[in-house]
Amino acid sequence: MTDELLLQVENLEKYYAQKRSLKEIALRKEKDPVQAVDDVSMEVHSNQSIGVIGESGCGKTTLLEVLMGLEPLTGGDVIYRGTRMSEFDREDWLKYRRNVQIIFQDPFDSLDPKQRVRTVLYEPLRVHGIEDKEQRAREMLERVNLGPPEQFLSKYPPQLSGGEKQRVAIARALILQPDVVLADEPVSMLDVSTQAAVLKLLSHLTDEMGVSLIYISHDLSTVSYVCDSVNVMYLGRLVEGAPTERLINEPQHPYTQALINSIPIPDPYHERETIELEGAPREPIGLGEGCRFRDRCPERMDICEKTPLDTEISEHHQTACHLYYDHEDESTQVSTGGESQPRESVPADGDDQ
Amino acid sequence: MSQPILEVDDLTIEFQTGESSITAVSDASFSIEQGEYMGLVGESGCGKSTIAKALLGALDKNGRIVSGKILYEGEEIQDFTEEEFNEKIRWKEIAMIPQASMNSLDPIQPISRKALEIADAHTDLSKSEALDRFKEAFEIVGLQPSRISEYSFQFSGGMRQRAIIALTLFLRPTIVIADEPTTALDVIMQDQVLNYIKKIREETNSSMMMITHDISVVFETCDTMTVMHSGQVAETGPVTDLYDSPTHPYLMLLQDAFPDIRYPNRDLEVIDGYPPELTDKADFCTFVDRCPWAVDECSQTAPRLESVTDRSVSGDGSDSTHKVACIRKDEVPQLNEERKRQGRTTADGGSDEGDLP
Repeated sequence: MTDELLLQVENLEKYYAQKRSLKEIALRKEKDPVQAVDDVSMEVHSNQSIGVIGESGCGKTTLLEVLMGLEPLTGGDVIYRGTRMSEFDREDWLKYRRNVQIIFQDPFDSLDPKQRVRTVLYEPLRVHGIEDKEQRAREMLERVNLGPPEQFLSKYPPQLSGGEKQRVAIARALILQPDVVLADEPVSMLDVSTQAAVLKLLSHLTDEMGVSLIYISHDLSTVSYVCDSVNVMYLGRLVEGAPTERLINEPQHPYTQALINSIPIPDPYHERETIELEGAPREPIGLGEGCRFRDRCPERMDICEKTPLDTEISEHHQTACHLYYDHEDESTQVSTGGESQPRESVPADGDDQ
Repeated sequence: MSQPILEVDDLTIEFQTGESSITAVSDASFSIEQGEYMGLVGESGCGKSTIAKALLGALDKNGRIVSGKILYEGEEIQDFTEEEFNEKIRWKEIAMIPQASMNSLDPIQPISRKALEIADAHTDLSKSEALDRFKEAFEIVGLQPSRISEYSFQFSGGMRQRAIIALTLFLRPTIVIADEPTTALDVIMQDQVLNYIKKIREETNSSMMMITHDISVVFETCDTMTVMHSGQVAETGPVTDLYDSPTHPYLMLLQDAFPDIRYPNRDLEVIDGYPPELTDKADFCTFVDRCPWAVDECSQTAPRLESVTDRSVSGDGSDSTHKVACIRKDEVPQLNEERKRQGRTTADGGSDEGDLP
């Protein structure tokens, strides 16, 4: 298996300007921007599946939207096979959009109710000028276990169940044989019985077709079935990243620990130790310097007023927390705040098998 | 064993939709005892919220109880009028935490005024007594009693959810129904809310009926569990019995379909097919089309809910509270073992979790 660097996210930043009132505009009063994604770096290699988890509002969906090119980035860059997104021309965008596909959270919303499955699947092929649409659409439907294809091709989305809709969405994302698929909580709207089937399918297909996956969710227990490695996001920043099993068994960042400990275990005998984490994340506005988790962190120290540096604590395991590095050495770097190291990623065949 | 506080007995609920009708609940039976936390589990559309509404006499206009009984402290309440429900049941005996409750507070009235309204409609409490009780309830859920007169928008989402729980609790209901109290919440917020729900039991002696599709939440929070499939009760009993010896094929598959963070490499079970749409009371097992072990007889008669005897933990079996509705209940566990053994040729070790006490 060749290990190719497909996508490089480099100190990516997405700030939204806040709406100003007429008075504020007249008085030329500036408002702090919403820091949805801030200084996020990661790499996606071929045949890799990466999870990004975090609470609602942590910026994970914005991250996907920027990666998809649906929202322009405001800082940093995304590099696709050596070309910078900030310098993409029309041709580059066409190529990029062919090779990077997305599966949305809600299959009830992401399919046009007035388009037959056939139209849904033909559209990407038509846009990218690919012949033998019928053949490809049939093959793809079979791959997502919607058989017999003839029957499904002429159906409308309202005639499909939630699980079937999401399979169509998966088929649509994979029909162009992309390099990377971005999946935004693809099973959160589905019942448990269907959820397992869709998770398995997604995991199996990305393996089989050699597609890399970025999977975002707030639910680590589903992510862990699909992803080789997981990044944890909090208020726009990545706070920890590690191979899935390592992250689950040895979480380092206090936020990751709280996140993992708050997952209920389907076992009445299991005594889960809970870390009581009070409150909710702040608004991502005017965050300033310092660790963003500091107001809720049980391990809070004085140094947390400074932005922690992303540190590699063991192979493929990084975290941005003051608990895990020697401040004597790096204090100068710490105070500069911004620059984090690009998150190194796990090799394709991961060590969690 | 004491008299259950709530008994649902062969309940059948039907909805009229134009010319046709849909049966949402078919012959469902279960019971809840004083202080017991019961989880009512099943996928969307299986009838769990319908049952909750029926308990409060709050079925939609086109819905009606066709047959069966609901007994509250031994009294039949299924035929109560609106007035009787208001006078005897709602809020002070059975109170409900609604789904998406964070958004169910009126933003233009102080929370305490809502409490006073409820107290006025359902009790003879004086204004100051009602407010005192509401302050106590605020304390139980970890909110400052001094804040009872604030508006809902002055609270964060999690606090709003707790304020609703306080409203549910302050008339000291005997049974609290929580309809998907944590669905749509992030795991951290879910954990906060669950902690308060657990605390209710320490502070009051309420029973709880928790409606959810999330069996992990039930296994952690509840004493007993009732599993529904398409309007029928498939299995009911203490959570430990259901965990140790699930007997209905639906529960067996459901358990294996559920992700467990401890075993990220375990193979997830897939439950094929969909529940049937019922226009009539189900006179067959509604799981028949999805069941790997279905036989002809399954589609000919509705299985009765019967005690699980042979493998009962307590041994004597006859009055076991672990009940299942499956005509092959004595064979299925073994069939499942065999299926698992075959499936485990690609053994990953992770799925072997049944060895706890």
